[in-house]
Parts: sequence; structure tokens; C-alpha cells
Amino acid sequence: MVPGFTLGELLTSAAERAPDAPAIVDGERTLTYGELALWADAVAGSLHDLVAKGDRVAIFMEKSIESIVAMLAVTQVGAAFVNVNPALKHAQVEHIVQDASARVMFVDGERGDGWELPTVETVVHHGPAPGGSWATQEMVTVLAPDVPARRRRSIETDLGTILYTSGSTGMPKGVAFSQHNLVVGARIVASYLRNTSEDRILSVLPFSFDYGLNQLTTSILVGATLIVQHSRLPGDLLHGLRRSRATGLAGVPPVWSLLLRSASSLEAEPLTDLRYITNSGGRIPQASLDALRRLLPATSIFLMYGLTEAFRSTYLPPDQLDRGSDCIGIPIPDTEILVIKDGRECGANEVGELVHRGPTVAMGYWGQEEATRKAYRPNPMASPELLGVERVVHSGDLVRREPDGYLYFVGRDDAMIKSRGYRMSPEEVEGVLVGSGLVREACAFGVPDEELGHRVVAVVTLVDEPPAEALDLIRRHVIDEAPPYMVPSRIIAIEELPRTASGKIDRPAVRTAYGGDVHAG
Amino acid sequence: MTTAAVDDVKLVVADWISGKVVGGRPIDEHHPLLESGTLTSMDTLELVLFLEERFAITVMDDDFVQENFASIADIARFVTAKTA
Repeated sequence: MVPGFTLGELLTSAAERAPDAPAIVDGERTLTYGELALWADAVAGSLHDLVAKGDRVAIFMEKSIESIVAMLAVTQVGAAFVNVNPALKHAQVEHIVQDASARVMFVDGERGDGWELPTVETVVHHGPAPGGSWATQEMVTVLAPDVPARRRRSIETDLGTILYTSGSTGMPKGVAFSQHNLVVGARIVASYLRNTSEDRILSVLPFSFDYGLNQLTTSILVGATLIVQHSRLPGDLLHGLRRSRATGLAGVPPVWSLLLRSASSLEAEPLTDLRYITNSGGRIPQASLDALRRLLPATSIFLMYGLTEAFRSTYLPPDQLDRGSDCIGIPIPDTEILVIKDGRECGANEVGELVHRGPTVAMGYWGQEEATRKAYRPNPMASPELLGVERVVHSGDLVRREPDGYLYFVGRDDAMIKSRGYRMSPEEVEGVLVGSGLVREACAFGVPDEELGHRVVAVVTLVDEPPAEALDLIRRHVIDEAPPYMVPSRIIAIEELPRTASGKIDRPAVRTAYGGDVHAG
Repeated sequence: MTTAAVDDVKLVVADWISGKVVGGRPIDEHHPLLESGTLTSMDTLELVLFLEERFAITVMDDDFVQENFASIADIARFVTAKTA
């Protein structure tokens, strides 16, 4: 029997148990576990001489069978995959690839054509080769059963992946996950969702997102089928659920808005196969939750809370939904949640910071010592004789715990913006605005929005003698240089930004003055 | 419906997308709106509300699919067929 300590072992094990079971469905194509494992090995063989053990390999592809094969091939060759959201533009991709010092990158559809990415030496492409100052190699597409296995052995304490996410300040940071983090994250989630090989999980979220990646890892763990869903338009989403007879669906709040657009179809023809849905990446609007409960009476609804730094943290069991969508529930299995204020545990209903303890606590921020020390701290409750070896994650999220143990989300007291499930810092948005050459100074912030989490609003001062259509030009620049979730819903130009006594931009004052009417403009 | 009507719809749709989504920039009617990320799925929800009101049509659940919203030309073709 193959031990199940690493993602690679989970794949090998699933392929040995049920080689003919469908692993991935992508449009008209279905790949069995046997084929998936063979293909991953073949690609791993083609990477063997390009990457060393522990290297980071970027994967900048649409969600597809090929992107999954790429991740698993990187794993089998003993390296760590770095999934890059295909919606990102050059500046964000460059930051990630450079920060992770990835020398090899997978792309599809000529992505990256004409770009400069200094660390990248070889591009493995599916589809046309992108032009650039790198060697190119076509991704192995043939399933060759006689390919000699050139795997490199990994153990569970090896680096498995780096997922990039933002905080309240600065540029995105890479959260480093061990193979153990990945596997235990899959085991924990599969245990409370009761996933089995009979499950057909519709995958609508990007693999660059911890929660999106989790559908793939749980699916491989239990030998279920993962169905890749490309379009999120309401009709396509509904069609995808029906056609695949999906038993599970994981979404972020906007996904539910899109699904609920099809309310009348859901009412006329209920989704009888859909065993569960899970929400994460932000609070689901209470009205949407009520509508989903009504339209999906046979479906268990799990509200989940997780922060990338610890993969997954809490969930609300479906029979507790009456507590409302502010409730983030109880700790996931094998996990303890502390509510801490001023270094001590809070009493019932006292608001404190959510601190996560357990095996999904990631290895830290890649190459960021100070930030890592700040978020990943010694367990304050451990005996001093344990020498502070165990680290817990300080989330920055404020919560309270009711006497019966259920946790409720209260808010955050920093500037982090979270829109459509994506985290970003004000500086990231401001940097893109200033990059237009038309903005002197910018102040971005998030305004609470029922459906999106936050709407991004930017207040800017313009350069001297700006062109008449400056705001339009700035907007175009942001659209070209940033992913859609980073584009402000509103850009407001003013003469001078308010300042604090020390001369810094007075962010709270800007937010108070301009955070109101967000729908105009 | 006449060809002129299709062109009218194209103008209205192009105007909405140009004004609401891309900062006043003109967009080619064959530009892949969804594939390129110009139009997010959340934008399409707003666009459909607008189209329903502007052209007095009802976009059925089964109509709300990629092939009808892939480009301005596709949207215009779809809306024109709906009003016919």
C-alpha cells in the first residue's frame, strides 16, 4: 500500500486503488486516475533535468486538465508548484515569479508572450510557445505508459506549494505550505464534508486560491471526480451542475449571486444530486443564504472560514444555519481556535483576535522574516518547557465566542481590502493608479458591499495639467495592468489629500469623506 | 428585425460596456469580452439587468450562457433574436 503523506503519494495511491475511476472532467475530456498519474509522471520526467528538488515552478494557466497535470508533475519531481491566477497582468505575475525565484514556468494559450520575467529560464507551454528570452519546451501531451518513472522522493515536511496572497500593507506575500499542510488540509475538509469516491465536485474557483486548491486535493485524497467548470455565467453554471450531476460545489459569495440568478430553474427542477455546497472567502449575504436554503432543500450548506496562512480554520455545521451568516462556527477537526486579546484568552462574547492552532498552520511567508514573526508566533498557551517551538497563526480577524463555543466574525481593524474573495492591500491598488503617470498621489480603501465583501474606492490627486479625460485614462490603465477585482468601482479626483500632523495621508479622514456614495461615478 | 436594428443594439451594448467597464475606450464588436476578462461574470449580471430593461426582454436562465455574451456582436445577435 502506498503511504499517504504527500500529495504525490495520494495520487499514486488513488491510481493504484481505482485506475479506471474518472479523476478529472474538463469539457468533453475525462481523465482516469491511472491516466492522470501516468501523464503526471511523463511530465515529471520532462522536468527532471530542469528543476532540482525544492525548486519553485510557476504555473500560469487556465484551470484545465493540463494545469492539474502540471501541478502534480511538479510535485512528483520533488519541486513546489506556484499557481498564478490567470487573471493577473504582467506586473503582478512578475512580482510572484521573481519573489518565488521560479526558473521554470508552465503557460497555456501564449500567455506571457513578449513579457520579460528575469528569473524564468524555461517556459513549458501547452499551445503556442510564447516569445521571450527563455528556452521553450512543449508540455508532454502523450500518455506514455512505458515512460521510466523519474520521480524524486518527497517527504511531508518538504515544501509543497506557495500561494500568494495580500495583507493590509505592501505587495502580495507567498504563504509556504508543506506537503503535510496540503494533505492534512485535504483530510480535515474531507472528513467533515464526508467526501467519498462517489463524489463529483464542480470546481469553479482558481487553484491559486487555497480554498480552490482544496477541492483538487480532497478529490484526489478520496478518489472522487473533479469537474473543471470554466464559465461562471448563470446558465453555464447551472448547466455544469446538471450535466455533471455534481454532488459538491465550493464557492465565494459572488458565485451564489450567479447561481441564484437561475432561481426559477432551480425551483422548477431542483438539483437533487447536489449533496453539499460550501461558502468561503467572505460572508455570504443573509438574503442569499436564505434563498439557497429555500431553493436547495436537499443540499447541506456549510459556511466556512479560513485564512490562507492556515489553509482552513472553522466551519458552521449545516444544522446550525439559523445562527446566521455572521457565525463562522466551530474549529475544523484537529484544530483549536483561540480568541486572544492583550496576550490572554478572551471570556465569552469578548472580542479578540482569532488565533489558529493546528496542523494546517503553514510554514510562513516565503522569504519574509519580519512578517512571518508577526503572524506566526509561539503558542501562548504552551508550556514554556516546550520552548516555543509550536507556532500559531494570528489572523488579524476580530471574532467573539459565545458561551456554547460558536464563533462569530466581528471585523478587522486594518486596511486590508477583500473583494470577491481576493485579498489586496491599499498599496497594491495605489501603485497601479500612480503607474498611470496621471496620478500624483492615491489613497485606496474598501467600502463594505453585501455581495462583493468590499468595493474598491480610490481617491486620487492628479498631476499638473491633466488631460480632460484623465479619469477615463486612469481607469483604462488599471484595467490593462491589474486583475478585475483590483479595479476601483469608483475613482475620485480631488485637489489635495487630507494629511495627519506628521504629514502622512490621513486614511481614516479620506475614508470618512469619500466612503459614502459608492454607486455613483 | 432588420440589420439596422442589430447595429442599433450593438451601439447600445458597446456604449454600456465602454462607459461602465473600460473607461470610455471603444471596443471592437468581436473582442472576446469574457475570455479576456474585460467583462467579469458579476458585470454580466448588471449588463443583463440593463438589457432587460432597455429592450424589454427577459433573459431566461438557459439563455444566460457564454455563447450569447462572448462579444458585443454575440450579445447584439442574442438581443435582436429576443426582440424579434
